[in-house]
Amino acid sequence: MNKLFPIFIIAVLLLSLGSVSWGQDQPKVLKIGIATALTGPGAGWGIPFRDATILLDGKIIVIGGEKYEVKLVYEDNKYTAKDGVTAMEKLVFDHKVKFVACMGTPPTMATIPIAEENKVILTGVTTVAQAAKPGIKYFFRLILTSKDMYPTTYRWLSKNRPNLKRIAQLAPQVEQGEASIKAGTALAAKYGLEMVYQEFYKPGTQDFYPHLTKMIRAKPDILDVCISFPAVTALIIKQARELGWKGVVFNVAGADPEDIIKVAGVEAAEGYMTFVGSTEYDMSSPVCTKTEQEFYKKYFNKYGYFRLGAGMWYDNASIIVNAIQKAQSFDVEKVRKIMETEVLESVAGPSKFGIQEYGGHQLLVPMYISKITKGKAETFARIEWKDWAREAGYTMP
Amino acid sequence: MLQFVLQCTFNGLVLGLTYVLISSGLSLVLGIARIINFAHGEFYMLGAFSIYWLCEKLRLNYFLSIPISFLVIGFLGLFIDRYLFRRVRGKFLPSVIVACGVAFLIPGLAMISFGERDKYVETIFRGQFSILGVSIALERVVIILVCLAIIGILAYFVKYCKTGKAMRAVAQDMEAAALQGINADRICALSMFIGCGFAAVAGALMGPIFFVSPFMGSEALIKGFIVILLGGVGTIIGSLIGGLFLGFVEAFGYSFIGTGTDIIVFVVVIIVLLVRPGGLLGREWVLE
Repeated sequence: MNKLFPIFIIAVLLLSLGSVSWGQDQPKVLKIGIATALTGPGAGWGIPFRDATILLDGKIIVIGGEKYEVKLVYEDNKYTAKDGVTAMEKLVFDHKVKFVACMGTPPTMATIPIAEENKVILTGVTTVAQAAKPGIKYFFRLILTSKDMYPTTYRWLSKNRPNLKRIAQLAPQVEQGEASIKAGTALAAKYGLEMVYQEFYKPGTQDFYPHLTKMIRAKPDILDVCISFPAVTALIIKQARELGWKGVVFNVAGADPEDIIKVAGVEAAEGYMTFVGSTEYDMSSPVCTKTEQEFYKKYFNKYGYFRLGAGMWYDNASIIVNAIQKAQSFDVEKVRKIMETEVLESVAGPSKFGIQEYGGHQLLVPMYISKITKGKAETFARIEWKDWAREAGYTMP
Repeated sequence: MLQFVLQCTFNGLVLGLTYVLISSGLSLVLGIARIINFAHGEFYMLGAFSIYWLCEKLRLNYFLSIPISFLVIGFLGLFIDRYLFRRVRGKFLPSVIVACGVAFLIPGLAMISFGERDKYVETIFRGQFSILGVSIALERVVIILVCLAIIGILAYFVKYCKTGKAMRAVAQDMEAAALQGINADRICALSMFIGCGFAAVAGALMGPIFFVSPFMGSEALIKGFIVILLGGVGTIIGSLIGGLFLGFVEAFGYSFIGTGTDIIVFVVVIIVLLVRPGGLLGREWVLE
């Protein structure tokens, strides 16, 4: 014991040396929580979300003259409400973060009350309109909702594809699918479209032959897959083509063309369209801004490819950091005020939160339209936020 | 209308035969080894991953990969039976708990080994043709043929081969079979090997048609249980009837009714169990 005691003291001293700062200018840490689907069916979006936010990790910002290093803390929300709550509680109570970026409609909807109760700034990608509304103080949405996108989507289709009149909807039986069906039912006739088929499918379905057989009988020209997951969208396209249906498939959500083409094949995927209200498009496109193209290069240099949606997912976390920088404070109320009133830097360029009907907490981003042509997704149209907001009937400033 | 009904019939046939393949292994294990193998769906998932690994990563021939999947996953089932299930054979609650534990363990290990992302296996049977207005995809024709072949082989094996007869004897009465000189442990292990192997073959067939995910096993397990509840435990003909019945109900149900089809399926299962507790062709089960 006597011989061991000095050795023990030396060991403790050596271990504690590692934590001593030798007077070097070590930045402090700014923790940002990231709740995303790292497992489960939502991982098709959740992992690209993680990959995009990694670009923010390690960024150094200066607040009040002191350097802070952004450190991202990841928790798996499995794209479910139950696991979303667990992930959020771990971030807020275990990791003690005050700023969280969340991915996925079910977990976002489930964690908004936690954010409100604990005064945590929460940014999220959920296409359900009622997530943001007057009275919700701490949640900010970065993606457009079905209510925002469908009017512009249907207007575009009726104007640019006038021969496509009969529309079908096949939706997952989750919140975003229900929102899509609701939007489709309300709007089709207004834009001269005839809704000939609407059906929900159970999440986890892989064989869509029975659903598509019924759909084909209704003779639609267009099929809306209502924000289905990328892998599921690919299966629907593949199986629809196998059943001999040659109509146009579209989604009001992004999907990497690589996934669609690998499953459905180049020929089957030809003409697949996406209408997205976020930075979910090919940023190398000439219609994109300089900041978008720069982000494209940064992402491509790190990963060797570009995932559609990377810009939005990156913004989900970076816009919080930008707001903190602008507020020059970590005080949640000050940061919230900045987010509500100021122009903030995003991948899409300077952006603001707005829309009175959403309590002013909707990021005003453009919509982009993309199409798969010869195995490649091409973004060919950009619709400014004032246009889609006007089309959706929101109060304009 | 005729074309629509014919298309539904073809859809139901494909669905049904897939369910038969999944459930026949489950029925074999349940009927002979008396294990409610809640991990059966995960062997189906592992079969899909094995075809992904063999075809996409190692670039092996697809037709060679299927029997390799059968053997590899079959031996995994054998291993699990030898070191886990054998210790709890004959004890209901411990065997259920062990099976559930294995069912949780396997997808977790699959996720660590293969990653969380969905995987895609390129199909070699692209293309479709039309008969009487019915669109028939080549890969689905392959499923029909392979399923029928495997079910036929299994039926022949169980009915005419010595080992197959031994399996039937153990299924009827394990103690009496042991008294006849049949090594019940060995037969149970063999049933586990074949059962898991069949699940793997089903997964290997489905992998290129859908996508491969660590979470695809749970749906397969539910369908497997529904089929054996309908058709009866330990009977191949029962699995065939139950599987085809489920396939046709789903195909016609989703095409004519839509979302309420799941409810119809469970209502039918409940009615069958009330009228015939052992399933249509099975015998009644007693918990020991």
